[in-house]
Amino acid sequence: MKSRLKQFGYRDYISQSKMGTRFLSALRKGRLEGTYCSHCNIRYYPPRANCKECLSDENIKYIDYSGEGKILSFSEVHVPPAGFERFTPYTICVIDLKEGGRLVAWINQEGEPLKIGEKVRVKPEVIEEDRVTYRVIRANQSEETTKITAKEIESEVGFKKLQGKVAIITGGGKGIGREIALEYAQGGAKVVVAARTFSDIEAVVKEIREFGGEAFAVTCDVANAENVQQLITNTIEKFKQIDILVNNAGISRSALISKMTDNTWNSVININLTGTFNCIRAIAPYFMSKRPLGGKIINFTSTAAKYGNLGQAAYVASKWGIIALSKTAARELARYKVNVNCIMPGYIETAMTADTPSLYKEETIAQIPQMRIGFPIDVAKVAVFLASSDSDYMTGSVLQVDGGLRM
Amino acid sequence: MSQVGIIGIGHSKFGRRDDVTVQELAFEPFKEALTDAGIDRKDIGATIIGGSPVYMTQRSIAGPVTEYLGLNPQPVWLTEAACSSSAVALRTAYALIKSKMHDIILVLGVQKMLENPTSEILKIMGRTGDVQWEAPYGTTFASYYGMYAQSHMAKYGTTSEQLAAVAVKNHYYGAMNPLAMFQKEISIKQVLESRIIASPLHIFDCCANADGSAALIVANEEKAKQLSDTPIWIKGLGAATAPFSLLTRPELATLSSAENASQQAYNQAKVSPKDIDVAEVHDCFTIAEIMAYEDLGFTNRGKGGEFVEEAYIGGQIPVNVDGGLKAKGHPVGATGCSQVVGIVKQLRGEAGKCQVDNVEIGLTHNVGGHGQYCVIHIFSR
Repeated sequence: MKSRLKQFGYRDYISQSKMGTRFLSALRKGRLEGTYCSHCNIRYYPPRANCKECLSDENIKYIDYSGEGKILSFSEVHVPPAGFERFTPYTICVIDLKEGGRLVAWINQEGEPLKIGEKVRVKPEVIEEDRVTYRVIRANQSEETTKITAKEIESEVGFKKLQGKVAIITGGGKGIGREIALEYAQGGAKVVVAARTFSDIEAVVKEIREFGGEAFAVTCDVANAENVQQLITNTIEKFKQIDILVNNAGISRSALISKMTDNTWNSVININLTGTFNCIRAIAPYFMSKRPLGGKIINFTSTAAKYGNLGQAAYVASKWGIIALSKTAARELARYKVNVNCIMPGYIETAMTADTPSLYKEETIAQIPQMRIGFPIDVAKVAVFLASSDSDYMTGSVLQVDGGLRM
Repeated sequence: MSQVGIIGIGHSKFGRRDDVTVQELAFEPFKEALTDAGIDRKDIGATIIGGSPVYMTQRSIAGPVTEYLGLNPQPVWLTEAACSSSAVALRTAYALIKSKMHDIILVLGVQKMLENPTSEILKIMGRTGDVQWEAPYGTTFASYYGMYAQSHMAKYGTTSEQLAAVAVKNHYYGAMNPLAMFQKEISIKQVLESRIIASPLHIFDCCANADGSAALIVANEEKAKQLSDTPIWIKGLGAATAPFSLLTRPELATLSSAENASQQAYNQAKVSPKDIDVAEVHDCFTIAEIMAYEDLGFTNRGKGGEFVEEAYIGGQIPVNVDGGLKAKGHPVGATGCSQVVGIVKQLRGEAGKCQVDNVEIGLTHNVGGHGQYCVIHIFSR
């Protein structure tokens, strides 16, 4: 559970303290929880575990804050620190809470110009599944959170691109795969989320069900042909059809060629390249016999494959191999109205790239004409396009989603 | 009571210094200060380096720098108080000389910041603020000072034009300082039309991250008199802190650390603000200089915006007449020493085109972080 109590930005820092964990957990339940020292009668928000006057923790009690407060000051940031580019510009404000104590949060500048002293209400909000943050509500803004359900999207848009489709997403528990699963479900598809780690895919399925979507988790190691066959069989059993296969499962293991072990090479090739092959091979007979005909296969390559990458011989070989595999599959399956295309993501913020040294990250971002790192949603939107009828006249192509990094 | 004096100064060119390593950068003012003081390396009893190590590729720079300067086996250590690191180094040197532990100390501020791209510098600097409650929202130093400015404007009616006037003044003097990063004059219109960094601060309201170094040779009274015809005496010192998080800082339109530190320094030096003939204040942002006028008692609370005209040479108290952080650039660890170099030049009558007439007493105001540290020094001839 602790891993889910993450804070936005410097994610794990606050979770290091017991107080921080408790505080985040209260926020997740919609409460602003401060502390006070019953001996010195001082209120603390953010909460302190001990009193700064009497230095004792014995008299510290927890209290709920109303969230009422006023703006102490604010500033709209146009030049952000690393990692905040995608939010820019954003307005930081300090809120003086009615009960004592303060908090820093973002505030929406829409409407009347912000004024120091303006009254606001603060509510905790969970965004992007695990990030806890504050929502500062101004007098002219609604208190309702903007969580949109699949049904609401339907009524708003009136038409969903993937309505009635059934999609399998391998590697769907994290990063790009997770985002695709969510986008497909939002787009009306029934989603089979497959990956090796059950807890990950279970969480994604739960999230989809929460907004009213339909989803199903299948544990599957794509390197194992039997597992893959089982995945296809289970999906047909459950949803009676398959329309879309997203071969997103992949790993990266780095070593220089001179030092790369058989094990490293094989594990990457087996999952990335053979895994993609296993899935295509397993679904091909179904697509050939399906009536009416029609299917979409989306495979994942990488910009790293285009130019090679130090220490990533296995990864790039597997990813370039996937392009050739896709083109062949595109030719073989075209007559069955199956489109096979590749997405070539660039530098995307996921667990796979999370450990990149920040200097390297900055240097790479500096090379991107669009001047920002990509996010899983950027890729997921292209995956929706390739899964929808909008891309019916495309097959065997590679769509690069990299902000221009390796054009 | 024996005095502590400054007998040698050196100052590198500030700006993008891709042409040197951190050791070579430190060597430039060191050589100049040594020559200026007319002493030999072996006369230096200890070295105190002011610098913020988080920005630099070379960690624990005190060792590599002293080796390059040929100062082994004398002791060396680093003092860190964010942007006031080298003023703290001078304060430490003062204490060690007063305690008679050392006779002559080299105080060296050195910083290479531009080894990192801007967004990374902003991130590192942002972490000088609170990483638990503030930095998760992408706070930057410009946004902190932006909030101070909003607060000052709301409370006292300070205007963007008044902020811009600070930048115009400092660039006016910077244009005459060959060691400054920017040697060009700007206009109020240019400032107001420049892009916003963090509202209400425009890019010309912000100082630039820079590489640079500055050095001081500090000596006890006996050595100072023996070695120098123009020793500059440290008459008053002050250092104070303010809550570092905006969540507990009582007031955003003032830096209480500066108020407290300057009172200590005035008391020790037995002077009042009106006795100050020239000052170097920490104008990391234009609003910071306006707040400094008030915190240092140069003008009344809330009147900082109107004081800019009085901060030119010929006005009540000339401030930052070497260009300030605004035009010189701000290599965080070197800034404290750079300010002292500016005041020593003024007191010696060596400030050239920017010389203020009849200077007897000068003051430096070096702020660390977004106001959590403030270090004041008062000097006289």
